[in-house]
Amino acid sequence: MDFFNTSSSNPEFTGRQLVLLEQDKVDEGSQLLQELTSLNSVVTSTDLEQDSHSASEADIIVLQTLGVAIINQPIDAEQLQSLIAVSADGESPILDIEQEQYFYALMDAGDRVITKPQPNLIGEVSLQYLQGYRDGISNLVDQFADQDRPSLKFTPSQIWADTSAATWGLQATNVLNSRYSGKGIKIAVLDTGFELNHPDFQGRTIVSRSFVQSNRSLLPVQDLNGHGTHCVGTACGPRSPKTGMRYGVAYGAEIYVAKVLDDRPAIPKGLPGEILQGIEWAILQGCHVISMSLGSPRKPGDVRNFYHKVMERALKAGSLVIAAAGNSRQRPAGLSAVNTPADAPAAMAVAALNAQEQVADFSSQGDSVNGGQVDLIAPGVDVYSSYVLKTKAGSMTTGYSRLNGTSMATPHVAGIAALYAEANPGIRGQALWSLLLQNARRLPLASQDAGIGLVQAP
Amino acid sequence: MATIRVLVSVSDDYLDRLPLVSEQLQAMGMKIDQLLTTLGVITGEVDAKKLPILQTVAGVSNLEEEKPFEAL
Repeated sequence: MDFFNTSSSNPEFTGRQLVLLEQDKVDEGSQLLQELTSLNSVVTSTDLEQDSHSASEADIIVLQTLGVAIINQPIDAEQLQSLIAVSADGESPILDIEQEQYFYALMDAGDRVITKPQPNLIGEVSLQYLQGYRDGISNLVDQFADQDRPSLKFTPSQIWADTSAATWGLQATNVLNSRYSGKGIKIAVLDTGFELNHPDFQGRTIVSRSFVQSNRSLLPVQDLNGHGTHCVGTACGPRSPKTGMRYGVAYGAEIYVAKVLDDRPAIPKGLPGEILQGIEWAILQGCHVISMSLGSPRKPGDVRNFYHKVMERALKAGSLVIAAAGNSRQRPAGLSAVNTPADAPAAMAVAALNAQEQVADFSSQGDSVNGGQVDLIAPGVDVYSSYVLKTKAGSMTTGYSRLNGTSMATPHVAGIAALYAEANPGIRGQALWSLLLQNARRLPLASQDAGIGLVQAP
Repeated sequence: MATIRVLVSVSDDYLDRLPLVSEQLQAMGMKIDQLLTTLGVITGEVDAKKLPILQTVAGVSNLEEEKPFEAL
């Protein structure tokens, strides 16, 4: 930005300066500003609460909570230069300075007009205008706050590959660089159960329960399909598997397995009533994270609100539900939108990414209904993980398999959620959700495909 | 008489009175299976024709025929 561009030559600038102050040195910063500008009529946000009109007459307005000062009078080039010099000094309470520029409402042909009059506004105001205003302020805060937060800059796509050490998925999600293991954190995986004899999990405590009724008795937790074992592996697999590369995120987490899907060989099915029992159980067991690689396809625009309240209660109870967005993008009959129950606003919807950092061609898309958006994307193509030792048909396997699906992406996020939970003791529910979003890696992909971006481990 | 499996979601103000809602549903002909107290859900079976009546029971917020989900 050219600091010597005065407002008279560019109508976009208002002639005021915005100054970012060190949050715990606001008073010191304000003092220094007064000295450097020779302006001393100052109002603070506390003053403004009592008398909002004083803002227009003050020389400097200090917003104490944000740590921002607005220099309400034009200052000369010399004063501006000294402010810039001071902001470059690492010790100074003045961190940054910017010429104030106008923000504009982002209007669109589809404006909705709200007719209820708002205080201090004349006549009708469109919802779009208010949204644009809100977005402008958020943008301002984000620009200033960037220094304190991990960068949300957009990063160009990379190409990944499995190595002898670890899967491409663990590399792309930064799991390998993380010092966290999910220790002390409970992850529930609601699926086809688990291969209880898998060599990679001997000695690891698994708390499990089956909810699948079949001919008046419950199916055993023992997985006969492999899907559940694969998901548990991705979420919680060991740091050093008995053979082959590392494939699991939270190797220190406590594993809770709820069998809610049946064992049929092709695509396992589950009754929502039993799935809900699994969720209830996981909450009562104190699970921080509930991973659900299951759902039913939905047509864009369809509202399926039965699960909205349910997921809201789960989130409030401290269990973050992470659900697969669905594999129906290319399905005929147009059922390409984010599946139920991932479409519940309080459940996180995860899409699938491939190793070239493109959206998987089967990954369901977000639509405009409340909750129908994709929240994050994670590795979901050619994902290597643990598998059943013997299939239902009786054939032996190596105990590992490669699968594709938003089912595979979901436990990546679940495992990483556990890492954040470990890194931030006491953080649950909505707060944990926010951490996952804030630290995602933004990719050059549409948000209806990839949400905020690629999940990243702390 | 087509018996279907049904899921009932209870409203926030009845969350602490699940058994009460369950009794009412039973009186209307629903065979109760599970009471999930944290989620506020009652599961069971009922004659499909009775679905509209169940909806009128105090505390019932949402009601849906149970249809399977699939692994993804």
